[in-house]
Amino acid sequence: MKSIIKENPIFVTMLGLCPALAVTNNFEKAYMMGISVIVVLLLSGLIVGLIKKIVPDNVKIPVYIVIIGTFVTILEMILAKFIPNLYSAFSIYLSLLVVNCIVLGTSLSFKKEDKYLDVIKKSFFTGVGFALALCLIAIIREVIGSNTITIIDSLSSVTGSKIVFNVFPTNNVMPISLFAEPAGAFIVLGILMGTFRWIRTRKGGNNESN
Amino acid sequence: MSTLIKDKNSTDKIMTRLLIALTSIILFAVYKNGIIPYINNKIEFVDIFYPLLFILLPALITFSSELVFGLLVKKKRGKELFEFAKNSYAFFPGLFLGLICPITLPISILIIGALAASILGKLVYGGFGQNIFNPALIGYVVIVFSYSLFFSSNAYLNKYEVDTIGGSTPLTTIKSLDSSISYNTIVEPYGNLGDFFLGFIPGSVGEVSSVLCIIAFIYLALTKTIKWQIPVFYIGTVFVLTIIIGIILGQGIYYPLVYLLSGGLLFGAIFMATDPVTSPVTKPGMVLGAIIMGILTVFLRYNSSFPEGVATSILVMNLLTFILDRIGFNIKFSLKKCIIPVLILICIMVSVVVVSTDKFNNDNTVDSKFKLISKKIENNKVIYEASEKGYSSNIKAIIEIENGKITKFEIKEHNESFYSMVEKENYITKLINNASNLDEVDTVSGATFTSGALKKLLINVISDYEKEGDVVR
Repeated sequence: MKSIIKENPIFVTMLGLCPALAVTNNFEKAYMMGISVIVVLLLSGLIVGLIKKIVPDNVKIPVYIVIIGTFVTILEMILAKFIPNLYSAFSIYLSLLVVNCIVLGTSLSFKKEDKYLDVIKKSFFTGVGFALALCLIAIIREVIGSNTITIIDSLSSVTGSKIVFNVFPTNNVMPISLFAEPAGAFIVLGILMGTFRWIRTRKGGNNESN
Repeated sequence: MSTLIKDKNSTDKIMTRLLIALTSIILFAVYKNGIIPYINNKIEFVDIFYPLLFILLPALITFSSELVFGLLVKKKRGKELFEFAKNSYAFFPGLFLGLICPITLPISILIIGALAASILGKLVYGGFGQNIFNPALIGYVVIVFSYSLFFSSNAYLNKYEVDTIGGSTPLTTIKSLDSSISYNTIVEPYGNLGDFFLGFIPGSVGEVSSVLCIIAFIYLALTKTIKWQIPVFYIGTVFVLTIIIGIILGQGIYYPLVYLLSGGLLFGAIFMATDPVTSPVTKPGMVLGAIIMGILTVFLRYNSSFPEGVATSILVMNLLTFILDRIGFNIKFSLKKCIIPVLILICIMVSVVVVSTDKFNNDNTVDSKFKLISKKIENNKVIYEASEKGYSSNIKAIIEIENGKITKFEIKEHNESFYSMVEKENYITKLINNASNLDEVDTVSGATFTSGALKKLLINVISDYEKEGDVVR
């Protein structure tokens, strides 16, 4: 559970920043990326939990990359078949999950004596923490940057209808489009990281966490 | 305690001097954008004070957001709070922001800019002294990149200038002229070089008057409020590089002077680049930073899609401040050690000059980026399908010419980021209406490449059509 707030992969341990910056200009892309990461983490966690005792330390990384790569490729194929719009919107960032430090890092962090259930739990909650962080960034960026919240847009090839909210009545609102661009991602991420750190140091009372 | 008292005094002194230096510039802004249009019956009496409001409102916003910050985060109360906001120069970012924006900018966007300047530029770093970028420029960049439509070149004209000058700012004019540059086309539309010097040319609210900027610089440098090195070397680098470019292009001394006196170069160099918090403090660092800014400004003015490059250059210099100061502290002057860095700087300058003059040598009519995809002839109608390289993609279009008249100009495919600006100006209709005299059509500022590509596309298609004997009217 502590992976969600106390050890949030993005805001605290700073893992997987690449998709957090690249696909968060739109809420739909963010939560779909979050779900993808949860699925990949969970499935690779299932396998890694089983084989981690028999894999020698010096071939750990290649073995895990093969496992993660398998699931990422499967996921990629499914998305390309059923939700082609989303697949093209993700572009390289979906394939990059193979070497993404959040997936690989989580798999590598397991020790041989960890229990199977704990492995799955940790994989799942890391994914959830990542997904929630992405959603938070995406909502802030989309509301400020384009004055909308996209819930279903590319997904409409599956669901059939689109759901896109306008936050403010549209006519005279001019969104600050800088926030929908890459620079805005860095600004929002930086401010959120600072906020999280501020909250942690206030609550915990320990000023130095390094 | 004694140091504290000394600090407090110097803060007050610096602030007073900066305000004295800015007062004349603000008064000139009111005169140029308020009183002159009023005398010529372009605006109501009340509107005389609009420029003043335009400059003071953002200053008030940055000041009050600093007050809120002091109240909530720093836990200051009463007189202490006011003192805190004053000592962190809280109203200067807003003041500068108001001075570098075009007069037609809607107030709501100016407010967003002021809030961004104060919050994103200063307070998120922890307040005065902690920020790495110039706060006013952060606010400026946020609104420029979010609302680029309001920063197009005709936005810089006040109500009086729209009627007397029309068109655009000098820098945009220079940029849109590819090969036909001369004194008549660049300086004449705005009067003479004296007008450039005094500031009676279109431009931002406060940065047009070169003579007032120079007087302010002399005053601030003599009272040791700012370091003279940065402005002198910055402006000097730009001057030298544009002189060289001018000589290569066969232009007179007016050419570098126009580059020097128009746009925000003087104002930016004197007031923004010298910000003690965000610029180098060591002498070698200052000189090096100023030269880098100069090179970058010239490079951006000639080669980017925006006419101006001062704000970006200063922000890049802010980014390098730490490194520049490291170099500045460690440097020990010896001729031998200086040779290699100086050679590198000269190489960069030469390449910037070469790149900048390169586009002037290209013949406009021969264009390797143009591709004729297909050509069909039906009765009197010729249907062309052609593509041309734009800013970020290939623009594909279908053009129909019937009896020497363009009946259709449809963009089939493009991936241009600034296409909406072209659309907004009805540029395509403008091209069709002036098909017989396309050289007269100016490109859309802010989308120079996209609109230029559309123009070249049409020129190429027409020249192909005219090979067969018919003339486009």
